[in-house]
Amino acid sequence: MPHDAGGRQARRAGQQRAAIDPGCARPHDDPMGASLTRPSRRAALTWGLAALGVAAAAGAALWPRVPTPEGEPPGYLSGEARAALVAFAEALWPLTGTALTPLSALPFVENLERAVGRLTPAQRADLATAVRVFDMGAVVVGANGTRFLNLDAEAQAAYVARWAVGNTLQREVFGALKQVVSIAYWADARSWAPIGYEGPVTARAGIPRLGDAPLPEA
Amino acid sequence: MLSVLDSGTVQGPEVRLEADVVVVGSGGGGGVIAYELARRGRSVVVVEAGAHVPSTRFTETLDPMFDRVYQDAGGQTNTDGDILVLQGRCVGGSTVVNGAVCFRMPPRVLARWQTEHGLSSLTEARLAEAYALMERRLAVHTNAPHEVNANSAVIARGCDHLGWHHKPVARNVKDCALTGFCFHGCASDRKQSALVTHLPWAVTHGARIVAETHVERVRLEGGRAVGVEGVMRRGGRDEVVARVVVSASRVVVCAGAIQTPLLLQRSDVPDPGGHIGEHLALHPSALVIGRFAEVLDAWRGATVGVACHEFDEDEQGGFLLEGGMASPETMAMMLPGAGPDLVEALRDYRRLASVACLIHDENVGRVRAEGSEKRIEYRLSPADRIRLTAAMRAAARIYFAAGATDVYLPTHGSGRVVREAELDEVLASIPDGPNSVKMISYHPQGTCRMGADPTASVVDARGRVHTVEGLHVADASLFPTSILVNPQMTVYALAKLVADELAVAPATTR
Repeated sequence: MPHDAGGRQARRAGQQRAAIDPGCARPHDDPMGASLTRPSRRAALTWGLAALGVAAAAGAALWPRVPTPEGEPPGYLSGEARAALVAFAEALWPLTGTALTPLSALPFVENLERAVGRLTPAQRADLATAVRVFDMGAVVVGANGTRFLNLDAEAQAAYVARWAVGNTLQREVFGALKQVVSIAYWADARSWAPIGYEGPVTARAGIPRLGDAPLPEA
Repeated sequence: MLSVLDSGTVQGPEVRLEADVVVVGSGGGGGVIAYELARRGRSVVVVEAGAHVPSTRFTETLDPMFDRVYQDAGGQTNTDGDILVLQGRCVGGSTVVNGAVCFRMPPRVLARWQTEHGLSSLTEARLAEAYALMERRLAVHTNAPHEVNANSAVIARGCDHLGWHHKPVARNVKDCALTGFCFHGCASDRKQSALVTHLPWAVTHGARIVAETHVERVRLEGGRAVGVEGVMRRGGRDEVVARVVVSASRVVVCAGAIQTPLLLQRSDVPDPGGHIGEHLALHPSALVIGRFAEVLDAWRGATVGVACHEFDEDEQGGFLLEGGMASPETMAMMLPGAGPDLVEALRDYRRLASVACLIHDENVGRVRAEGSEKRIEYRLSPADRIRLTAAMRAAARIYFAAGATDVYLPTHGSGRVVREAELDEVLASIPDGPNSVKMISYHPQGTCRMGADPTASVVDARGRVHTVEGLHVADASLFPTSILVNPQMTVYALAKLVADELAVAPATTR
C-alpha cells in the first residue's frame, strides 16, 4: 500500500466517503479525533475501489441504497453497511446446524453499532470505505456481475473465502471486516456458553481487591 | 482511590498549575519519574491523556475495556493495517493492560547500545541495580508451578519433547488470583501496575495527577522547556472542558514510543539529525494456535506462564515464544480463513491453546504527524519476515510435539496445518508483503533513541533531549534498538536512572 498519497487523493477519498456513508460525518463527531486518522490508507482503499472498476457513483446509480430497516435506530453505519456486515458474518461463520449461538439470538446490529461508535471518526470512515469496497467489488471479483449483497448465500460464502486469500487490498479489507464482526459477536456474552467460555471471574468468584500497594521503603 | 483532577473534578474552563517537574504520561516511565522526584521533595504534576479508570470498573471483557483503557479503543494500527498496536490510554498507561511479563534486557543488546550508540555510561551494573530495585518494589517473581496454566503447560510439554529450552517467566503480580485477565486490567489489583504502585506512591508524596488531558505541545522559550499546554476532554476524548497549562522548569515526556515523538514534533523541537519519530520497532507478535484432543480451558490461570528460549540469540533465530491465551473475540480475529473450518475451530475453544511469537525486529518504522493526524509506518523488513516465519514454524512444531491435532497460523487465508509434514508447504504459501500475517504489537519502542552523538540520536544517555534544555524523555522511545524481550522492566529501570539524574540536578539548569 502506498505511503505517499497526496492531499488531492485524500480530499477525493473524503468526498467519496461522504457519498458512501453520510453517517461517517455525524455532527457530534469530534474534529480533534481526526488526529488519529490514516489518510493514505483510506485513499488507497478508495482507489482500490476505483481500480476494481466500480466507482462509488456508478455503484450508487446501478444499485439503489439499502435503507436502514424500519425499526432499527439510526447509527454510524448506513443501512447497506449494516446489511453487508451481517451478510459477511453469516458467510464467515455458517452457524446453521451448529450448537453456536445464531446471529439472530443476539443484538448483532446493535453490537456492531456500539463497536463502530467507539472508533475514531477516521477509523469509522476507513471502515465505511472498506465495506463499500467489499460490497461493490463483487461486480468484478469472480465476475459475479453484481454486488455482494445481491449474491445468494453460496456465492457470498465463496466471495468471502476468495477475499481471505486475495491481493493485499482484499486481505486488508477482509481482516478489517472480520475484526469488527468478531467483536460484535464474540464479545457478547450470549455467544460464550456454546463454546464453554466462562467469561469474567473476579466478581463471580468474590476475589478480593488488594488495593494500592504499600509504600516501598526506598 | 487515587485522587486525580479530571473532567469530573475540574473547576472552571482553565487550569493553570506550577511545578518543578511536569511529567507527560502516567505509564511505567511516568510513574517512576513522578514517584522518584516527589519522594525527594520536588513538586510534580503528571498529565495523562486517558481517563482514570479504577479497578472497580474493570469488567474483564474487552467490550468495554478496549474503549476505557486502550489507545484508539484498541483500534490503533500501522498504516498497512496488519499490525494492531495496543497501548494503554488511561492513568497507569500500558502497565494496566500488559501481560505482566518481566525480563531484564539481554546483555548482548546492552553491549550493542554501548558500542554502536555511545552509551558507555549505561553500564550493566547501573542497570542491574535499577532492575533489582524495581523487581523488589513490584513483586516480580518467577512463576511458581501453580502459575503455569494449561496453555503454558502444553508449550512446556512440546519443548520437552523437542529438547528445547523453556522456563517459567517472571511477572510483577502479587498473590495472583489466576483469573487470566491481565490484558483487560487486573480487577483485583494483583498486577503491580503503575495504577496501584508508583502513581499512588507519588501522590502520597504530593504529586498531582491531571487526567483526560491531551498535551498539545511542550512550551519552549529561549531554547528551553518551560511547561506544557493542552486540553482536558470529558472521558479524555469528548467535549473540551478546560484548557490546561502547566509551568515547570523541567518537562519529562513519558507518553510511549508512539505519542512521545508526535508531541516533540508538534512542539517543533529542533531535530537536526531528523531522528524524532524514526527507528520505530514494534516488537510484533503473531499468535499461533494449537487445537488439542483434550479440554484445556486455556484461558484459566495466569495469563503468561512460560517462554521458550531456544531461539533467543540472533544466530538461533532471534525470537521468543511466550504462552498467552486469547479471549474468544481475539481468537475469532486471529484464526485463519472463513467458513466451516473456522466455525469448527471456534466451537472447540476449550481445546485451543495459543503462543505469541515475538521477534527481535529491526528498527525500520517511523511515526510522524501529518497535519493533525498520526501515521505509524512499519512494515517487516525481509530479515524480520524470515524471522517471523521461523518463529511460526517453531511454535507449530512445539504444538505438534505436544500432541496438537491442528495448528493454525495467523494468516487471513488457509493457515490450518493438520500434519507437521505439511508445515513448510503452508508457510511457503503465505504471500509476501503486507497483510499476509496478522500481528499485534504491545511493545513499540525506539522513536526518540538515546545516543552520544547529537546528530545520530534525539536524547543523551541521561534522558536529556540534545537540543532543548530542561526537556527529557523516559519511556520505550529511548531504546536505540529493540530488545527481544518484553520491555516494561527496562522502561522502569531507565526511568529510574533518568529520575536519579533529575533529582541531583539543580532545578533550572541541566
